[in-house]
Amino acid sequence: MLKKFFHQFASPKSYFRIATKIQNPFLLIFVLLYVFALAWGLLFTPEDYVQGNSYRIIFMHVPASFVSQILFLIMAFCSVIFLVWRLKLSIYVAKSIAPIGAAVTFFALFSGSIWGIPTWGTWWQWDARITSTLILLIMYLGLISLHSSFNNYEKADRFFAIIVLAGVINIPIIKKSVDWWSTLHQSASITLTDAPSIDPLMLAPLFLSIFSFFGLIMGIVILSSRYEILLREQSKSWVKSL
Amino acid sequence: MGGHGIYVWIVVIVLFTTLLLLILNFALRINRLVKEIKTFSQIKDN
Amino acid sequence: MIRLFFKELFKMVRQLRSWLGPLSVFVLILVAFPLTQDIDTKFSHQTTFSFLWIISLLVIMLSTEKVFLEDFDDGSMEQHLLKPYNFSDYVSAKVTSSFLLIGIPLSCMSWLFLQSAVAMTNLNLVSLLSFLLSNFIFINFCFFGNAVSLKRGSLLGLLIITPLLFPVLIILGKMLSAALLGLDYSNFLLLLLGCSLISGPLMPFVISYILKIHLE
Repeated sequence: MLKKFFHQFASPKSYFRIATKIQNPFLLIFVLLYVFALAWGLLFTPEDYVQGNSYRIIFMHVPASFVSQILFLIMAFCSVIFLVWRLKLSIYVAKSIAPIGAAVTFFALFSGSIWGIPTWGTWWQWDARITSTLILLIMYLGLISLHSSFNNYEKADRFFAIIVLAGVINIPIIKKSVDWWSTLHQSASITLTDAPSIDPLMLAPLFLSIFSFFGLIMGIVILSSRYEILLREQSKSWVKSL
Repeated sequence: MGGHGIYVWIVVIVLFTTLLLLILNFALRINRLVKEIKTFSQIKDN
Repeated sequence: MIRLFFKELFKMVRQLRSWLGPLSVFVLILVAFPLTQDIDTKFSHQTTFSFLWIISLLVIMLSTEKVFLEDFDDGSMEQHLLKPYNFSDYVSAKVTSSFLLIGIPLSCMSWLFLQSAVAMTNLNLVSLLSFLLSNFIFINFCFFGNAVSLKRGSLLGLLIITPLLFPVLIILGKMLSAALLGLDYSNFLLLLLGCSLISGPLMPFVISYILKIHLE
C-alpha cells in the first residue's frame, strides 16, 4: 500500500495537480509573512551599538545565504533519489531549483558586499564565508550551463545529478578548508550549545525572516518545478488535456 | 553611524526586484508554454 | 592490465604533441615570469609557489583537453568497453601515463625553477611533494571534467571541476605557510596524500561510469 501511495504521489501528473492547487496560497502566505518579518526587523528593532542602522541588512542577507545552502542540499537529495530509483519527478524538481539557487546565492553575495561597505569599508574581502558562497554560486552556474548544453535530456539529467553529488560532497570540504583562513566574518552568533550572542530583540525577527524566506523560496520552487514538468512532459496526454 | 539606512533600502529594493523577476520569469514561461501546447493540440485536432 | 598501461603509455609517447607541447608551454611561461619582474627583485616564497601551482593546473587543463575525444571519435573507446578487462583500467592507464609524462616532468621543472628563484632551505622536500601530489590530483580532476563535457568542448568541464579543486589549492597554501614558518606541516601533507589516495583509485571508476553514459 505504501508502494502504491509512493507511485501515485511520485508521478509528475499528481505532483503537478497538487502543486497547482497549493502554489498561490503558499506564495501569498509566505510573502506576507516575510514582509511582516522584514518590516519588524527594519522598523521596529533597536539600532546596533556599533553598526548603526546598516546591520538591518542581516534580515535579508542571513536568510538568503542559509536558503542558498539548503537549496543545494535539497538538489542533492533529489539527485540521489533520481540516481537510485530513477524517479523522473525528482530530477525535474532538482533541475528547477538550480536557477533559483543561483539567484539567491547572488543576492546573498550582493547584500553581503553592500553590508560590508559601511561595516568594513570594503565591498569585498577574501574571507571564509564570502569565498565559499562565491564558490557555491560558481557551482550553481556550472550546473545550469551543464544541463542546458546537452541536447539529450536523459544524459543531461544523469550528469546533472552526478555533478550535484560531487558538489555537495565538496561543500563541507570547501567550508572547512576556507575556514582555516583568518576570517573577517562575524563568528557564528547562533550556535547549538551556547546562548546566542545576538540580542533577543533582534533574534526573533531574524528567525522569522529566515523561516518565511525559506517558505517563500520553496513557493518559487513549486512554481518553477511546475514549469519544468510542463516542459518535459509536453507530449503526454494529461498535459494536452489541461 | 545611524545614517547608513540608504544601504538597507538599496538591498531591500534589489531583493524584491530579484524575487519579482524570478516569479514573473516562471509564471510568464508557464503561460507561454500552456498557450503553445493548446495551439498545437488544436492544430492536431483540426 | 599492465599490458594495457604500457600500450597507452607508448601511444602517448608517440604522440609527441600531447605531452611535449604542454611541457614546452610550461617552460616558456616559467621563462616569461621573471621577465615581468624587476631584474633584481627577490621573489616572495608564497607568490612563487602559488604561481607554479596555478600554472601547473592550467598546463594540465591544456594537456588533457582532448584526451577522451580522439578515442571516442574513432570508436576505439567502444572497443575498450568490449575487451575483457575493466573499463576503468583503461581510464587508469590513461591517467597514469599522463602523470608519468606530464605530471612528473612538471614537478621536476617547478622544483628546478624554485632553486633558481627563491631560497630553498628546508623547503626541498615539501615543495617536491606538493608538486607531485597536486599534479596527480589535478590530472585526475581534469580527466573527470573532460569526461563530463566530452562532446561539448572542454571549457564546460573545467568550469565544473575548478570549484572542486579550491580546497586542494587552499591546503597547498596552508602547507607552504606552515613550512615557511618552520611549523609542522605534516597534517596538511597527510591531507594532500589522502586526497590523492582517494582520487587515484576512485576517479577512474567515476570517469568510466560517465564515459559509459556517453557511449550509450
